[in-house]
This record gives sequence, structure tokens and C-alpha cells, in this order.
Amino acid sequence: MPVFQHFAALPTLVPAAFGLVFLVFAPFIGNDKKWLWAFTTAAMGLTIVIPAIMLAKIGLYGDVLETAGVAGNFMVRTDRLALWLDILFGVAGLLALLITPAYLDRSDSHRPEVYPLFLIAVAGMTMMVGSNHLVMIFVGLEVLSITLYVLCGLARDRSVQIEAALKYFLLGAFSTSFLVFGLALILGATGRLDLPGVASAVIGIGGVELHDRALLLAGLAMFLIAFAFKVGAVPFHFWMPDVYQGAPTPVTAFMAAGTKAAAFGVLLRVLYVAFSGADEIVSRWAPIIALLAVATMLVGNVLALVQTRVKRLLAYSSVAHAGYLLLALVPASTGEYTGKILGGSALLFYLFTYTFMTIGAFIVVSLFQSDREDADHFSQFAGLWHRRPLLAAAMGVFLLSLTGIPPLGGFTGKYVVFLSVLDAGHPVLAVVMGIAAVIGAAYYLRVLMLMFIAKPEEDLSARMVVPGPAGLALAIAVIATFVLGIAPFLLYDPLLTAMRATAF
Amino acid sequence: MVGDPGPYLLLATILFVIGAFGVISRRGAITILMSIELMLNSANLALVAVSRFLPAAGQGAGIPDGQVIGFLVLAIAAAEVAVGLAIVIAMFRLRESVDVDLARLLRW
Repeated sequence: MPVFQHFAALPTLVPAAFGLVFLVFAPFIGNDKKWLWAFTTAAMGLTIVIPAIMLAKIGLYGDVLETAGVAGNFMVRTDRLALWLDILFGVAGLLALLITPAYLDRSDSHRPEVYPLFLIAVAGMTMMVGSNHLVMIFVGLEVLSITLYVLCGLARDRSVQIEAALKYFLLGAFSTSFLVFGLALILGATGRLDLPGVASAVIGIGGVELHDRALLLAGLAMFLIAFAFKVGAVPFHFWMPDVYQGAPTPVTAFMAAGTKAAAFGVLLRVLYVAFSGADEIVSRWAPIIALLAVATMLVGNVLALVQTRVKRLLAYSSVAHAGYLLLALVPASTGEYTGKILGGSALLFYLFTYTFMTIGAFIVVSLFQSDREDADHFSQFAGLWHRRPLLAAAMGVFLLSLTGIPPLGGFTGKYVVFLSVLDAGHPVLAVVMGIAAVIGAAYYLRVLMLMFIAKPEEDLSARMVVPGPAGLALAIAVIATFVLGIAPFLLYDPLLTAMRATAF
Repeated sequence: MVGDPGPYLLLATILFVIGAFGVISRRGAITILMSIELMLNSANLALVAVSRFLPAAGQGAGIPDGQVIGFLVLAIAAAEVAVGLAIVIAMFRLRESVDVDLARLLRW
């Protein structure tokens, strides 16, 4: 007999409710956007605190809260995995919100409805990872995507932003249709769309029969294509640099960390829960994921070498990091319990470190603006150390962390992924990861040399003001990057517990 | 399976491929939008068809899941297109054209 725990949906309901209320009242607040921003930031804080409290108490409920069921099918499933990712989304949203007002003021495109949209995007993300049903995952993805299309094109009079929004929209909608078609095929093959149901069909237990294996594989392929688009895996990455460069920088930071975490959370859950029961199915998707990971790591890093704008460079670096993250999905293919646990927790840990270092780097980039436009060309960063030592040091920490230098978070993240891949018996993949990381070091170091050794060329860095909230966000990101590097067990051990408790 | 959804799935696949070809080959943003709609609706056709042919819990054939999801997809696609058209209009105001090949500020 199913037991409904109605507060299971709280991590989604809180941001959704506040987002909708604020969206309705945004036009009445008028010119005083400060209050709306303050309220939104407070609500975003709440969306971090609530999952954290639930995480502390979830042991009392057997580690799983489920609700909103139809005919014995739970649509919302809140477990430790979902709650940890909910916290991550809240943090990404909060850091992005902290830098948004100043950025929009400088680019003269301030609109009050911006802030609630961040909350709604977070609600979409929590819906995606907090569900055991493919339809809920689809709805969550759409809530997130549609919000992001709007956020990308905030400044309607700015060609670059509208172009980015148009590209993101067309390719996003294109990939969505792949997802829906994939769902139709999976439904046709198994008669179920809830992940445990699909899993029973794949294994062939519980009275759910697999009607058509070819149909199931085709459906899985469509699903993987859709999510390869969303995470920016090569060869579906080409929209990413354009959209990341064109979108307002706080939105880019939010997308880079949050969307990626949500998409990987879904991939983790769907592949682990539904499609890892039978070896014959796993042997179909595991090589594809490995191939995507290798291509993504290498292509992303090589293309980043030739960039001349920091924002675009970070976009390509984001592609490369999607490759490392995809690699962490491979250990599950051994079919062994430990491989799944290690790979999953490595993936989650990497997502956390990646969030802090990439948002941090984008925060620094967001300060580089002149004449209402992004001024993120390499020449603007030259000699930053001589003008702004603190800012250059912060950017240095993020770049070194992205490279994977100890004792920073990026290193421990890469290390746990590396170990899990090695442990699963794929030494070749681990070596490729090492090579990709070395190629990646080249372009991060290029920016570092420019900042610390070159002479200042342009006077933008001298005129720049660092607003208080942005400074706070930078401090949070730097501290988190160090903490995750020096004391990774603080986060890694709970994540291991989370993966064990998620009961695959 | 009760009966064979094959012909319906074949039709859906053909429509999907036509839509995908349209997205890749067309230059007008509106035409691309129409092609995406075609893809989404071919997926809807597949959803409705397979749910008709799946064995029901008791006797006979047909489960409601696919049809319910079809409605969800319709609603979400409508929301998506609303935002998409707004972006296309904003683009038209700036450029006097909806040709995506003219969108060249960002290299593909």
C-alpha cells in the first residue's frame, strides 16, 4: 500500500510558489527593484535551507519520500540524491542572483521579472531530479528550458542576446522533440514510463513484459540524444559556446552550473534505475556514453585552445567538463553495485566542485563590461594582477581549480572521477581523461599568464567597481573551492551515503 | 502487444524525419518553428498509437497513459511556441528579417 508523504514535493513547491507570486507582483513594485531582488534572494535561500533540513531528517522516513501518486505510480520521489542536487541548484541560483542586479544596471537592461524567473528555473530543475517518472522529468525540463529561453533574451534591444536566445530556443525545442519521441517509443516497448516499471520490463520481472526490444533501444537512443544536447556533449555541443557567449553573464553562470547538474542528475537516475538491470541493455548504452565522453573531453579542450574571449573560452571549457562528468557515468556499466556507488558519488561530487569554480569564473567575467557590452576579450584581462590583485587572485584560484591543480576542488573532483573509472576497469578511458586535462591546462594557463605576467593594456580594469554582493559571491565561491579541495570528505562521504541510500 | 502499432509508428517516424530535415535545411525562423511542431506532433501520434495497442490491465487493449501524455505535450509545446514566437518577433524588430543565416554575430 503506497504511503503518500505530501511534503516530499516541498523542494519544488517552495521556489515555484515564490516564483509565481513574485512574478505576478513584479509589475506593481515599480521602479524599486531592490526589494524584489531582496525577496527573491531570501526565497532562494529558503530553497537551499528546506532541502537541507529534509536531508537531515530523511533518515526517519527510510530515506525516501514519495507523493503525488496516480494509481500506485509515484510521480514525486525525494531521496538523498534529489535533495543534494536541490541544494546545488539553490546555491547556483543564489550565486547568480547576487551578481545579477549590478550586471543588469551596467548593461542598462534591468527588468523586474528577471528575478522570479530564476526561482521558476530552480523549480524546474528540482522537478527533474526529484522524480521517478519520465513524464515528470519531461515537464521539469520544459519548465527549466522555457524559463531559460526568456532569461537568455533579457535585453530585447540587444542583437547578441536575442540571437543567443533564438539559437537556444530552436535547438532546445529540437532536442525536446527527440525526448518526447523517445518517451513514446519507451512507452510502446514497455507499457510503462515510471522508472521502476521500465526497469522491471528491462529485467523481465514483476509482470511487466518487454514487448519490443528494438523499440526500447530506439527510445533510449532518442532519450540520450536529447540529453546529450542539454549537457552539450560532442557532437551536440555546437549551440553551447554561442548561447553562453550571447546570454547575460549571470544567466550563463546559472546555466553552466545548474542546467548541467539537473541534466546529469536525470541521466544518473534514469540510466542507473531503469536501464542498468540487464547486461544486454547496458552493453548497448555504456560504450555510447564512453564514446561521447571521450569525444566531448578532447573536442571541448582542443577548441578552447583557439579562443580569444574569456566567456567563450569558459563555454568550451564547460563542454570539456561535460565530458569528464559523462565519464563518471561509465562505471555503472560494470553492473556492479560498488561501481555504481563510486561512479554516482564521483559524478555528484564533481558537479559540486564544478558549480563553485565555474560560477566563480563567470562572476569575475561578469564584472568586465564597458559601454553596456561584455568586454571579456583577452586584452581586457592582461595585467589584471597589477591593477586588481584580489580579483586576479580569485580568478587564478578558479582557473587553477578548473585545470585540476591540488589542493583545489577541481583536483579532488577529477581525482574521484578518475579513480572510479579506473576501479571499474577502464584504464584507457582514465588515460584519455588525463590527456584531455593536460590539453585543458594549456588554455587556462594562458589566461593566467596574461593576468599575472603581461602588462595592463586597457584601462577597463582600473575603472571597474566590484559591488558588495558580487564580492560576497566571489568569497563564497573561493572558500568553497578551497574547502572541497582540502577537506573533500566533508561532502564526499555524505554523497556516498546518498548514493547507497538511493537504492538502485 | 495487442495488434500491431507498426504502421502508425512508421508514419510517425516519417513525419519526425521530415520535421528534422526541415529544421536543418530551412533558413526562416518561422519555418523552423513549424518543422519543430511537426516533430512534436509526430511524437504525439506515436504516443497515442502505442497506448492504443498496449495490453490493458484487465482484458483487451488500450491504456490511457499515452493519450494523457499527449495532452501534456500539447500544452507544453504551446507554451514553448509562445516564448519562441516572442523571440522571433524581437529578432524581427531588430533585423527586419527572420532569416537565421543573418544571425551571425555569434559564430555557429
